[in-house]
Amino acid sequence: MKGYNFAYLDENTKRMIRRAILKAVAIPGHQIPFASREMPLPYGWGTGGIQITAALLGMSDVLKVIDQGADDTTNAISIRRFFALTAGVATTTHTAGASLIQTRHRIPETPLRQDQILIYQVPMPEPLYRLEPNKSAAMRLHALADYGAMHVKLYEDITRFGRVATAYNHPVMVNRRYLMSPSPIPAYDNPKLHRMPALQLFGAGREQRIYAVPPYTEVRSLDFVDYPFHPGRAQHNCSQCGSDDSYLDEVITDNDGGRLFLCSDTDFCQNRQKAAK
Amino acid sequence: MTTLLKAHELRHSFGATPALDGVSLEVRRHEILAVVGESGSGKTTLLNVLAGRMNADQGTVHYHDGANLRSLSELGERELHRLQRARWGFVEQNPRAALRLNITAGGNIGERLMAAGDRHYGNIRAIATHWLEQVEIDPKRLDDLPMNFSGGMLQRLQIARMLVTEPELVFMDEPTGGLDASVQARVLDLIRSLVRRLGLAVVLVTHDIGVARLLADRLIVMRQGLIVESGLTDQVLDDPHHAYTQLLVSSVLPA
Amino acid sequence: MNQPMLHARGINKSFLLHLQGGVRLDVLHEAELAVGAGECITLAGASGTGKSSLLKALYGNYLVDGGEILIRHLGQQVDLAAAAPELVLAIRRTTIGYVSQFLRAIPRIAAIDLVAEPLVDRGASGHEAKLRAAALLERLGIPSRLHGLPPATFSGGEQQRVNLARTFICPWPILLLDEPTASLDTTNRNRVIDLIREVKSQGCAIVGIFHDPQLHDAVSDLRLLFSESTAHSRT
Repeated sequence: MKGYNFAYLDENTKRMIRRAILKAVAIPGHQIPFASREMPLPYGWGTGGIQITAALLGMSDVLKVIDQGADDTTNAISIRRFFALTAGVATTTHTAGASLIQTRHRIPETPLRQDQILIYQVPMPEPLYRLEPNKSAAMRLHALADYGAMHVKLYEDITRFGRVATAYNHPVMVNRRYLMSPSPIPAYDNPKLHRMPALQLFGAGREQRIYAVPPYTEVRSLDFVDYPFHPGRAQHNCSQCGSDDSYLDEVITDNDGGRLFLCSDTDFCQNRQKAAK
Repeated sequence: MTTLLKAHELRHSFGATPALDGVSLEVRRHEILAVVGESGSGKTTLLNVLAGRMNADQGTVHYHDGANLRSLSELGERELHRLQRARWGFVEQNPRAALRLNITAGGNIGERLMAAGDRHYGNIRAIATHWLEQVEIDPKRLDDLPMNFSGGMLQRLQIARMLVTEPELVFMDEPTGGLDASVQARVLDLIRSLVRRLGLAVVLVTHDIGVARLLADRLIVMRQGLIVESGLTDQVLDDPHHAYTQLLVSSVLPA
Repeated sequence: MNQPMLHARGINKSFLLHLQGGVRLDVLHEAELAVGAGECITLAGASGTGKSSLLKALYGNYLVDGGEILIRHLGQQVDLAAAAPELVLAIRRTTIGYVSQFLRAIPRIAAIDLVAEPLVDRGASGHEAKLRAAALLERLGIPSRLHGLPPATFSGGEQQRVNLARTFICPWPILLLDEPTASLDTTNRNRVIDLIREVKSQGCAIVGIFHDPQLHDAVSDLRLLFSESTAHSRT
């Protein structure tokens, strides 16, 4: 597209972001500040993820964008088109065929490989922010690895609800050092973070933070010995492909309590349906 | 008796006002040392410096790490933090400043355990229950929010929260300052018996001579950033030598 | 007397009253006193002659300006007048007991716990200490229905007996008694006399201020008469 640099951002900005990414990879789970730019989409729509994608895209990359697992939602389509226009790169909806995957709130069901990069859109990078709203105090707690307060929150959940009640954005310890917010992915996806072959990058545009989980890094969900972490999913089969182990969305179909469950990962679901035919 | 804490020639000023003007002292294992003085005498600044919460302009604070005396300033922030969260305790005058009011009593007590790495929910609850009993709070209140507790209960909960790691040295800043007289007596009695039972060493800042007499083995009288008199509590209070101490003692209303 | 348990000599004590324009009160001048095991010395004399000051100095409660207070503490001779605070506290824990005129009541603590406390501090079990405390309180005429109550509400005489019990529950090599029967009736005074005689016969060295002539006659071996600014005449 004329008048714009390749992949929208100017090269100096990309270098700045790449430096932040390198730092983030060097200190797994640690939040690196970066000079987040204004992007042609509102905060909360993935301005962090899109800047990482822009900084990483090369001519030969194949890009996939998902929003809560789906390739066909407004947000996913717009971002995919944005890069098709500004970078002219190939796009795909196939997990296996993508070299870069930008995601909002899901990890694809299909296991990722070493040669792929998963880029998360993050609304709030600081896992401690509800417990310690003061940012410098929270940074101090990270520096001291003092995460007692986070466990207090889990303790309170068990005390009140009999179990850990976080269904999404369940905090994790990265490489036994930094407490990290996995972005609002369902707890069901948390185990996939652990020792994933693909590089995982997290971008928060409004909060101006980038963090990373390098390939094969240990990522443990916070829990108690006697109340182990339990990733939950709806106890149903996908109404489209019949899957009994994928993460399901619940869809209300009428006003009489009718509902159905279907895979949140549209690519995964379609592949299964095709294979079944 | 082991010296747990040793301060040498502490000096600190806020602008032109000296808060500490060359203060040296020692705290020994199992002893209660009270620091009394009027507002602005520097006693709270002294407490904060001793507890590693602030740095004095000049002077040193050494603590006993089990084998040697080590300077607080040589410790990294992380080591100091660990010391403060495990082997030391701090009791604030206002328990609301130390407690999380929207977290249950059990969660409040358990926090230091969890920070120290305890990951067993059942254990943490059992220990929290034990400490609630120690501070004379009904264990049935384990899952209640402190925002519904009375002032005296809050102060006792703060003490339980601090004692859970079984510290050897505790700093207290007017621990009964905000309480009614009747509640104050109960909290004082509790502190007194816990300190004896657990063999704690305490540095207690108070402007209340009665509190100092009841709890402290030794007493330091401060005025304008200086220690004007020190010694055995009853000796300093019954036979005060310095003009200021005499004034302080004679200003107390008899009960 | 070959080696005294407590030997104070050359004791000088004055008070400088800064609030009264720097008035200086000389209370003790070269006071001397020695007491051996099983012996009881009475400090006598008019009010304001320094009896109480000397007694308080012997306990480390008043700081003396000069002189030494030699005490046999755990088999060694130490100078209380020159002792560091922690040594004074150690001496008070095991060697010197002191009964003041008034009970400095700790709020909210039951009489029996107050009395048992010194035993517990010396390592006795809570149960055993309470049993002995109860027995001693009974012996001093405090009925068991009062044992569980804090003494703040007791009468003067009852408080004084609780105070005595708190000290007499432990054996002391040296005891300092400041008018221990001041507010007691005859029956209770006799109970206290019995108690003092008993510890004396067990070898306790006692220094006391006894205004009560009967108490004095019953327990005292030697009378030290205090006059203005001095304390060394004997009768």
